[in-house]
Amino acid sequence: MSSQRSPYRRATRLTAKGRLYLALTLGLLLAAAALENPRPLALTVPVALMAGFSSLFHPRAELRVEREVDRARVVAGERVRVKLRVRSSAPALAEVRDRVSRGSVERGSREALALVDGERELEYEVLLQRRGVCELGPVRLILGDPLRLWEEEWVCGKVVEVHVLPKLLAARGLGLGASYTGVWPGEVLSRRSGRGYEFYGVREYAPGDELRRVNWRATARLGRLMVNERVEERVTDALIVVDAGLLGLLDAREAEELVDAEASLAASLALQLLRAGNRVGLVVRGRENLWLRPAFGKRQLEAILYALARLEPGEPAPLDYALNMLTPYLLKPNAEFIAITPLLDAYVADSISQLAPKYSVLVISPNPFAGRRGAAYRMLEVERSSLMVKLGKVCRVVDWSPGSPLPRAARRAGRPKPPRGARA
Amino acid sequence: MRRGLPTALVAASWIALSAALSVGAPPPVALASLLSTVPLAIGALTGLRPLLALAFAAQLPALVLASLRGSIALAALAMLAALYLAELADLLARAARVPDLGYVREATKRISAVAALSLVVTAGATAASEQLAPLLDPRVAIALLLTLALLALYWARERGG
Repeated sequence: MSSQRSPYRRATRLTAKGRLYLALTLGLLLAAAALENPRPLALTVPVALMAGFSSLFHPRAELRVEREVDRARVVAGERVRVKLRVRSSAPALAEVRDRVSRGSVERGSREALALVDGERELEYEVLLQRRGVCELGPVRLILGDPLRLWEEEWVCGKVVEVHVLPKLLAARGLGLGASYTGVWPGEVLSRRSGRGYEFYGVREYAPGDELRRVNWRATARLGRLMVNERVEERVTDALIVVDAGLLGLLDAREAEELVDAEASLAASLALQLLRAGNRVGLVVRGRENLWLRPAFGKRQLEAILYALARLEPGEPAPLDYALNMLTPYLLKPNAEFIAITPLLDAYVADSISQLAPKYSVLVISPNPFAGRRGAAYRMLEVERSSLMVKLGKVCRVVDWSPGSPLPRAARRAGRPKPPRGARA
Repeated sequence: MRRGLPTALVAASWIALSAALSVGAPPPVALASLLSTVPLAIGALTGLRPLLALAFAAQLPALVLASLRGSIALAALAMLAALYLAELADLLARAARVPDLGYVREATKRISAVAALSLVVTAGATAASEQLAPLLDPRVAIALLLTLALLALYWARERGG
């Protein structure tokens, strides 16, 4: 719940109708002059009187607006309820127009003609279908004389931002192949033996080992007590890179849909990785470049979701700069590097392949041409496929059509290789 | 808010005014005056306010002709009636997108008050000027009215802030 009480600015101006009244009067004067007859001048009398008396009714009111928004952030597809409270020091006929930068207004209207006598409340709901930042306000209040020849515009209220976070997808089954692991227990196979599920090896029994870990077959074969060892599962660091640049091949709507899919995927991966206790960082390349150092917890998830909500297609700097300069700074060697890119340019693939020896690289490529027909799209898809094949030799590549289940695409790409040094 | 009945009333009054002005007028002027009801009604119903300006412009030749041929006082009163009806139609047009009964009622009262005050003064002023008209040089009258209009504009701007 947020409430905004606001400063205001006001301006008075002649309306289009006021100018028409003036033109009518001048036209009648000219007609009288042209006809050399004063009789048409009589018609100017009611025009002037109506305008004059109307000005007497010009309101003298002080206005205030308060806004309440029920939520400051929503997930794409949810609604926000907005309540405007208009207060006036004197009865006034006002036109209220609120600004809503995105989404569709449902249940109520953001515009109203209102008789404000003391206080008047207006309420409406905005359906926010797409990820982004929705700006509400400022409110424009228009007061005028009864004939609306003059109008006084009040612009009240601060702009309230509602963050529309990306929808989450099912992002299971991707698996992580990082060989760098931290000290905390997690879900990534480490190079050490310890608690876990994967088999690591067999060693001689030592005092303190649990009896249930005794390998009876090996014990019978070797004649001394042997126990099974498991691979220790620990947390790792992950850096998610979202590429929303170089989308010139697509029209604006297609580019936005693709970036929405990328943001949803990145948000889902971040949630999943953070829940498992890993540290997650983010690099986004769109209209604005932004990066977040890997960190744990809910605060980091919130920062990632807000960054993804603001992501818009564009290209202020090439991606290879971000990858070559930022990755060594943000990510420890052999940690998990996840690139979400449509792979529309060879230099992006080259930059990623340069990182492959140093990190466990996973590339998820949403296909922007899925379901499209035509020779041009076909050629672009062939180019993209060849880049994927080239990249597939050095890292894992998941070809994903937005809208289709990601786990299925991940299964096609196979499991990650076990970390170097693991005996399994 | 139902706007059909108020629009019908305004349109019927406009037709009556057009019929009164068309008596003795040349056919093109009379036809334009009568047909002006169509844009007026459509504008009031759909909220297309430029159509109202078109309707008024179509009515204007009949009003000017009435002032030239008949009584000045009656022509001025007809002009006042046309302005009043056009204002009501404009109010309905503005309320088409965001209807609010309270707003429309209050605005109608205020427009009617403005029209009533104008009616009183117009009737008096035009009745007096009927005697003066044959004696008054049109150039002097135009200069006088222009000065008055500029003064009124300046006054209104000052009031508006």
